[in-house]
Amino acid sequence: MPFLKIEELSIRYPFQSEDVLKGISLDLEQGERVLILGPSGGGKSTLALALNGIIPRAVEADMKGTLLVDGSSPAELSPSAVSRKIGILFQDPETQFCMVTVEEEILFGLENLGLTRTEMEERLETSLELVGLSHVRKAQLQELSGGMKQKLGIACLLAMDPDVLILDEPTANLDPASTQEIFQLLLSISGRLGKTLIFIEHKLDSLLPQMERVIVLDQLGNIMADDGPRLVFEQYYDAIKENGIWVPHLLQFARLLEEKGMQWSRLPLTIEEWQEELAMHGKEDMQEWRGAAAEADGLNGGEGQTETVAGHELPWQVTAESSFVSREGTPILKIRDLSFSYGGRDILKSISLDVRPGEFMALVGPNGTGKTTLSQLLIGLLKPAAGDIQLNGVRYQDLKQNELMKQAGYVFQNPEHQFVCDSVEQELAFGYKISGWKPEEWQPMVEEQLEKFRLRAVREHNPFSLSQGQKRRLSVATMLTNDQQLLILDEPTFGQDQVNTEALMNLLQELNSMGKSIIMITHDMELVYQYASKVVLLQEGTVAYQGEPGHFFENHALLKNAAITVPLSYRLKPWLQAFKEDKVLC
Amino acid sequence: MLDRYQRNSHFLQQVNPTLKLASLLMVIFFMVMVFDPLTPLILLMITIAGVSILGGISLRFLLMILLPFSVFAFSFIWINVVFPDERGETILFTIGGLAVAKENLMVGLSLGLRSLVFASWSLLFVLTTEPTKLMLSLIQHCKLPPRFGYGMMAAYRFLPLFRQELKQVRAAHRIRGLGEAWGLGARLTETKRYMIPLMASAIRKAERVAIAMESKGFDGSRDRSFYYVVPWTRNDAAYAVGLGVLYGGLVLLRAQSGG
Repeated sequence: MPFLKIEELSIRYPFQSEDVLKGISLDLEQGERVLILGPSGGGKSTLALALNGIIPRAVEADMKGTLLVDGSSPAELSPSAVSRKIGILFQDPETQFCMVTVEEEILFGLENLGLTRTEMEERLETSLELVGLSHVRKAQLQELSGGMKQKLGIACLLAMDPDVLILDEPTANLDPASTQEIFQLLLSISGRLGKTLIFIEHKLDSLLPQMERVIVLDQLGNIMADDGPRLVFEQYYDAIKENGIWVPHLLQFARLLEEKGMQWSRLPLTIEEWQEELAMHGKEDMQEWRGAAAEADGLNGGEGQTETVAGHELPWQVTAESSFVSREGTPILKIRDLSFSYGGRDILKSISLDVRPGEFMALVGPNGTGKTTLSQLLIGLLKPAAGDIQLNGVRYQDLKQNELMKQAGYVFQNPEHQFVCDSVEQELAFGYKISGWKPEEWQPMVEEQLEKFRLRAVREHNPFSLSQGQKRRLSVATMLTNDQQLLILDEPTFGQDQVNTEALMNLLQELNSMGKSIIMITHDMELVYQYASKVVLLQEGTVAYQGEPGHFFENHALLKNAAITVPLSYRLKPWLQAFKEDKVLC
Repeated sequence: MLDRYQRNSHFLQQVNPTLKLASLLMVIFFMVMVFDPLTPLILLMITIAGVSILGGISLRFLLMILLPFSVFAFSFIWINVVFPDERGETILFTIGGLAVAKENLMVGLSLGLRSLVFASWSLLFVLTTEPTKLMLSLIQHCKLPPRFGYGMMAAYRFLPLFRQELKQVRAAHRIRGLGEAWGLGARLTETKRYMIPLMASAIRKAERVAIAMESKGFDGSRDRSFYYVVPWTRNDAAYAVGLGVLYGGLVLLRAQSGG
């Protein structure tokens, strides 16, 4: 009898005409490491909630078929009995805790199990030890970073000692460095304790090689594939892509080479396998590439770890330098000796920067180095302590807020915060209305925006009822009603899924090609390499680097210092270029 | 600031929250029967001194919080002097042709001071009680169902998040070209505008927390153990005796002065 047994399981939410899961069957043994892939809204989280009985106990849904955990149905067990078998780590670090301090949060779960005080003390200490949070045992949750909160989430689960850990996109809200840390922690702990791991993830590059089994759900809620990671991607690559499921960068590149004539004897899942394979085929010609790869490896301390950067689909432009056009002319935005301090702490120290018309600038750097502060200074939400900002030659002091808004747009991380009207159409018209335009004047403009941002079908809908991608598009659109030439975005792809990220980036690229200047705060180096024409690295309140992305990724010491990993597409560039030039064929 | 006071280790912080809550109710009950200004004045001074000394709370901070309450208290005096039910006979002085009677002034003073006494006792409770400890104490000693206790804790955790989110919404709306509202009508539409994104996120957050809590085995029943039991200690006995002495003294004083 397998530990998890699912037979002909169908789940349908109330008021829906289609099942989320359509008669799936699945067996899982103890100790397996499984990755579940599927399109967003495709029933992955539903499956997780059904496994620990929350569906149908707390979340109403119509459930058919059999689901057995260790021989019993979770829906019929009490919550505390299920939680001894199955634990879930959720996506949002802010909304999975209910207590004030670290130790109280771990104890909450243990008290639910009805353990004795000695037992609780022991488990509390061990679990804090395992995730490396012993030093913050008494700390308040609000003092912890996002990564630390997710570690606490893991500690809570480990303390309760379930047999199965379900990880429902645990790193979606984390930056690349913390993401990597969480993955490593989970894999090493589960290895040591022999836990079954069920990952639901889309940051796959570093995770996939560690998985024993990949289960793919399709858009209709069927199981499309269920096999080892290499076999699944060898056999179902096209079907997976067609279903809008994210594919690891490395495999996308592998596929590209395949189209160019490369025949993989073994589809590479890691960069080492990639190197070996190509070395086997390329013979002498491969020498120089291996050199390049070794150099690229050196960036990561030679451990040859694969990339941590969250992904989006690559538009197959291999050389970012070629797309970089250094644009001359007077800067649209001129920042001189800008300083800002808050609560006695200097956040920005004498920053000087230019943004030229048509530039796509990526603002990068570790958390808490003043990226958001800088962006808010640029839109006039904050006032500088010293220094000067000029927009088209006019100093900010001499610019009224609404004058500034007519020339620059600012997109917040959470699109919902920017919505002020009851329908999409009104939302787009709002900017014109408060500038005193007449309906016959703004009507055609709004029509144009609806068309351009693909929102025509939902023009009557309430902005809050839109899908994630539509909300994001609308929030960008509302910032461009006045044909603003400068657009500032604060981590617009954060927590967004693959399809939305790609759509947004294409949109930004389009706007950029029309001559608009873009400043985007991001942690995603793959995006930086693919789209940006200029990188500005902020570190401890100063500009540590500004210039081309190509040169940026060559500066090893700088990157190491800022804990930035080189994007995979940059590391693979030598091979891809070689294939482009048809140097190698087998 | 608040949580630093709540978590320090002075005497009042060691008293069982349930007892503190009971004493707050007792004060309210006691004060209902008092109509002279002297008793609330004495009680107020003792309370302020007590909170400051036994709770380790800076006097300055305490008085700053009481300041807005004193405006409220003064309004009692004003109302009683200007619009008395029955104008008193002992006219003390007149302000702009308005006679101020001693009797009305005394009733006003008494009511005003009484409201300050309530405020100071509420502060005693709020400033020296950790929310977690209060919740545990209510569950353990007052039969509060854990479902509500832990639910309230989850909600409490969201308060700072909401403040942060409100700030973001404000900034976002300013960027849309909406300034700060002036006047009552504009204020109302502004509030509505802020409420919608905040409510949307609140509902989503609440749902997620509920699911997360249940996935950790929480079923809201009393069938659970406690790592930390809020104890009854000698401090509580001392607090109770102190209260007894305080009330006894005040009653005696009132009997003496024939009040």
